[in-house]
Amino acid sequence: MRYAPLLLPFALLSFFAQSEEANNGQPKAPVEPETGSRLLWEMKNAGGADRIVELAAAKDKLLCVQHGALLAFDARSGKLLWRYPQEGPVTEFADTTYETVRPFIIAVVGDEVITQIPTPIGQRGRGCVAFKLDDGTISRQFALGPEFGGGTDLSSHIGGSQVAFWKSPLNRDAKVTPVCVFDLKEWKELGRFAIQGETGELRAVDGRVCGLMIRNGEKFARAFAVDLKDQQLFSVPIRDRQTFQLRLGQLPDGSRIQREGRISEKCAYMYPCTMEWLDKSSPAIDGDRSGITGIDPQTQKKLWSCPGESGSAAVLMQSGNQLLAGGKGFLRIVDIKTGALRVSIRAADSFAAARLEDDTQSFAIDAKRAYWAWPFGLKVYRINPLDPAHADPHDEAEPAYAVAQCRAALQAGEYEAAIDALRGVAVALGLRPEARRSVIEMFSQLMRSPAAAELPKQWTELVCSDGWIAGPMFEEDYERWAGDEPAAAEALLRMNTQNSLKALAGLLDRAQENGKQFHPFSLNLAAAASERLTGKPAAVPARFVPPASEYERGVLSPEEYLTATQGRGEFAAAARAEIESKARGEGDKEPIKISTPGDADKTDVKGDF
Amino acid sequence: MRMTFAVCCALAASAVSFAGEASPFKRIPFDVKVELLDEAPGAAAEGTRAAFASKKAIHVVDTLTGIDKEFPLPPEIADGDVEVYAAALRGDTVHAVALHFLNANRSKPGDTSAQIGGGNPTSPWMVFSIGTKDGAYTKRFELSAQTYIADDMLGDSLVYVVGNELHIHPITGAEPEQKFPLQDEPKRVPVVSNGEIFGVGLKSVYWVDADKSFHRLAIADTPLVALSDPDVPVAKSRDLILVPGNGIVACELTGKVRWKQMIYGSVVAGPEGELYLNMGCGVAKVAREDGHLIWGRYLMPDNFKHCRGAMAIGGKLVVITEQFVSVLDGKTGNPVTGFPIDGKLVRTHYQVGTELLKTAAAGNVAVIGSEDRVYGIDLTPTADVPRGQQHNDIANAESALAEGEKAPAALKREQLVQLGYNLSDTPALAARALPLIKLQLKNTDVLRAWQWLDDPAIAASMLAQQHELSSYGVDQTVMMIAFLPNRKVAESALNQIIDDKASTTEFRECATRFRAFMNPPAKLSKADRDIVYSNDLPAMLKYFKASLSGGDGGARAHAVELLKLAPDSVIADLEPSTPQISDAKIRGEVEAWVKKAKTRIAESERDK
Repeated sequence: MRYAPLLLPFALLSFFAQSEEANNGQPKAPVEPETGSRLLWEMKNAGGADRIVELAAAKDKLLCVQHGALLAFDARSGKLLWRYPQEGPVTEFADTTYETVRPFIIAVVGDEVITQIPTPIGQRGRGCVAFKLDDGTISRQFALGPEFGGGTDLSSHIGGSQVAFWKSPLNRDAKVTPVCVFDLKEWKELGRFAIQGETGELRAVDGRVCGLMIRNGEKFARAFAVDLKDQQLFSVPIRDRQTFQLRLGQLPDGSRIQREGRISEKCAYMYPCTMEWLDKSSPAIDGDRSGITGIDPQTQKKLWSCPGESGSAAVLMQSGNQLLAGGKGFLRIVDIKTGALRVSIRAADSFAAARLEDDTQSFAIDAKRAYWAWPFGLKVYRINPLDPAHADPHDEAEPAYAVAQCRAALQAGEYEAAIDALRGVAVALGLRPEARRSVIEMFSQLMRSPAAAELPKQWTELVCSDGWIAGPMFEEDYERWAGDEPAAAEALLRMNTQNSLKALAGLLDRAQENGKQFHPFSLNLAAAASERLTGKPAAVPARFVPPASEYERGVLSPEEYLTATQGRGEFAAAARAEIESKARGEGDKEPIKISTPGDADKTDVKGDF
Repeated sequence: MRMTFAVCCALAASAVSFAGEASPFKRIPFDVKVELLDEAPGAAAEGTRAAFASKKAIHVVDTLTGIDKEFPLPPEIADGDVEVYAAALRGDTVHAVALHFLNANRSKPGDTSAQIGGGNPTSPWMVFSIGTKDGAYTKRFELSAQTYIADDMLGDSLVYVVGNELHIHPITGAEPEQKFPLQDEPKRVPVVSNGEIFGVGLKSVYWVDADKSFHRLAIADTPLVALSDPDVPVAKSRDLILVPGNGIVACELTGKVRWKQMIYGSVVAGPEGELYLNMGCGVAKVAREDGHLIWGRYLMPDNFKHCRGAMAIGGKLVVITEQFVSVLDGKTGNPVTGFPIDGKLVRTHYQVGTELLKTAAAGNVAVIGSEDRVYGIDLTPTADVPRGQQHNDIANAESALAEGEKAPAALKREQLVQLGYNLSDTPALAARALPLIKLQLKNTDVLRAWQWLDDPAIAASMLAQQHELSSYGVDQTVMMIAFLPNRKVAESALNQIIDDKASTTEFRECATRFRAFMNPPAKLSKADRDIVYSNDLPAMLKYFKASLSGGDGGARAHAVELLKLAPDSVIADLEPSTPQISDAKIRGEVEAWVKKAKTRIAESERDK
């Protein structure tokens, strides 16, 4: 199992942010540029084992992991401040991308960064080591003990100040996962236990550990919660087949968000669940194919939405009130309270963006800067908002910059770069609406240029993602493509005119005709268009929404599923079990033995030295 | 010799004459069963002889006569679980390498779950030679089991990478060994081709020229970053490195992009610098200068299951699949010969990186090492086989056609499909089959099998049955239309798909890509680009005002063409000056474009 920093839970990201804000007593930082290019500094590397695999920002420092070493840079200038070890790599991890021990940086707590970096005094991958942020000296360490050793597939997750370490599975035949919960602030172990089954996505919150597990002989994976005080394990089967791809959301009340719904702290299903919860990175924010959605964690109502392109919000992280959304080569900063876009930066061309997988990139954010590492380098951008009074032609976040880049690329005969330059411009226009006219003119010119003819694929993608800003220029194309191309349907919805909505809603009528095939996503969008026009909910024809897949995707609740299938569906038994679980108010309960440092001599807690 | 899927070819002697009329013609002059190894059995060739290895012996085959001589391996090689690969045949000597393993999980015929590429080496690589006159065994040297050895030798030197170092190691030890530090971790086996070495590391590509100079190019900031994906096949052809990624990208040796085509496939580099694309269900030849299509051939994939590889040999392209061999003329793409082979996969499961095919050229015979057999393919064109010998040729389908003609109504669909495959190398014969085909053109299998035949009925049926054909995949359907033998018909059909409002996005986009591949849009000169993509809009307006009114007819027509590319605001601003354009035709065109530009501006303002 691999855990990329992109999957860092919301709580951990908030934790970094909290640390960042506690910056009292520090010397005043030098003035950083607030105009001109957004790129403050960058670092290139050769890829492969050279790549930076993790980032964290704290106290005007950027912490990186490269070659198994921990590096601290001055976030303002890129100057290397300290490094552990001082020279060379940590031998065991020098030529790897450390995918079996992640994350290396666990958290920043006060003036310390807590890591799993191996040290001469520690044991590799068997606990955590605290470094002083100021000078990189080791301040303390915690060793987990031998049951967590013997390999490198140790993982950890943080919730608040508590971290859950687990090694899954210690013995592949026995399928036992040892788990240890440690409080980073108190620097003490809260307890440890072993779970039967292969586990993942563990998270410690307020003395409770939640996670997912697979048990032999069971069709479904289970969500579980272990209460350290009550020594109880609650579990409930969950529908999702790709359990370990799932991201867990943790709500303040202890309940969690699964793909198919909300689960209480005692593992009972709680409904309803909305589509917005799919593929979320945090409990309150959802990055979906059309951007980012803010959701009230208690009521699950949509609070705001910020537009984006499919995949552009694959990674979400927070610093104070700022939310970083990264993906597809974009970096965007959004106000987490209002959803208002602050900055949109295109950090990579489409070729590079297409080749970037989520787990080959790392992101970090602090109050002033966004950091992005990809396999061949690192870029640091300032993220101060655009000046509403003055457009800065050298600012990558300005639509005018995109237009100038596009025109320059056309002039140079670099047609792919010309198309690329306009990627994301529709979102960027939200910050500078007065640039709309010049952007549309550029779209018109690009449409008639050799670029569109030579590179139809890239051109079509651009038209679908950003061309809607050009009004009716591409409306006919969208209408033609919408049935089988959800991005075109989405463009019609974004245009949000009577004509575009009518054109999109018309798909529903066409879908009634026998033999017509449409993309289900397009039909969902058509239903949304119809609702906007009429104010009434519209339904996608039944043949496009098989109940079983809707139930699996979490769109249908078990009650709705049983009604739709008249109780005879493939998942009828599972649906009934869910209903019973909900009625009981807790999942399957079993005792679990929790050992604490008092009765376990294998635990080794060391203080300052 | 491990972990790659590299189809290597070594063009040996120039084409030799037909094997001799006295002896019966054999399309497959030899076919020798060997043990299933970790990779395909290595095939080496020199002149008209081929050498390969089994676990117990080195084989040397005369490709003219098919006579196979076996030279037993000594016990120190043959005993135990060993893999032996022939690296080169040089005069009276075969050079080979061997590695012993200990692992019960290694591949077994028919085993669907065997781990191929696994196993624990129990010895170093052993490099040795066998004399082909007396079978004398000579031990040369040993190499670490973690060595990546090239399939072919560079002259008399073994080429390999061990640690982070490239070695060119003369096999006799007569000359000093050359070593080059890679400054990188090797990712694949180096490839020896046309006197050069090419290899890929985690962070760079490297090559050694014919003059033995070593070069290295970091892949960061170049399209070669696609190589960070281990499955991306890369090829080097003279001054180009070709990488499939998002389309095919051709980089110069500096990393600068020379061209890019939005077509998917892997590149087969020919010995004369020719570039072919293996596109899975079709092959194409592309121009070195800009990557545009020279010719394309759709290869019926139902009979081309598991397209295993392609090799360029003596001006021909040999495409080998599980069930069929197709030999195409490198210049025209026309089939030279083609025939079914019984090449069913012994393995039904393989790991990425396992070599499925190794090839070599021995005169007019392609030597193919595949799974558990090594066989030869005589590349003589089907039509050139002497009349009296044609009945022996499995590529010749005349008798099958004659049978079909006797009872057309009884001809089954499968037979017609088979005829389509087999007659593509003899179009004159195929014309006789046309009446038979036309009866069954609504059958998509028949249609695909006869796609290559230049007849309007086939092209029309193909266009009419797009939807039905798309069950084979949109890309494949568009490819079979784009690669219709009549280029004009093909282009017209692609335009129809693009313009048809009922076309799906995928069809339209795919057809547009193929159209651009076949006919790259005319390039704009730098001077023209400087005009229409300038930031100085007043200067641009001034230019158009002057050039549309003055100059000769040709210059004015050119200015109109440029005007079509200009910003809307510039076009619209020409309105007051259009009456001054004396050429009525030019004026009419300009007025029409002014109207269009103003409409676009108005529409964009309307939906603000």
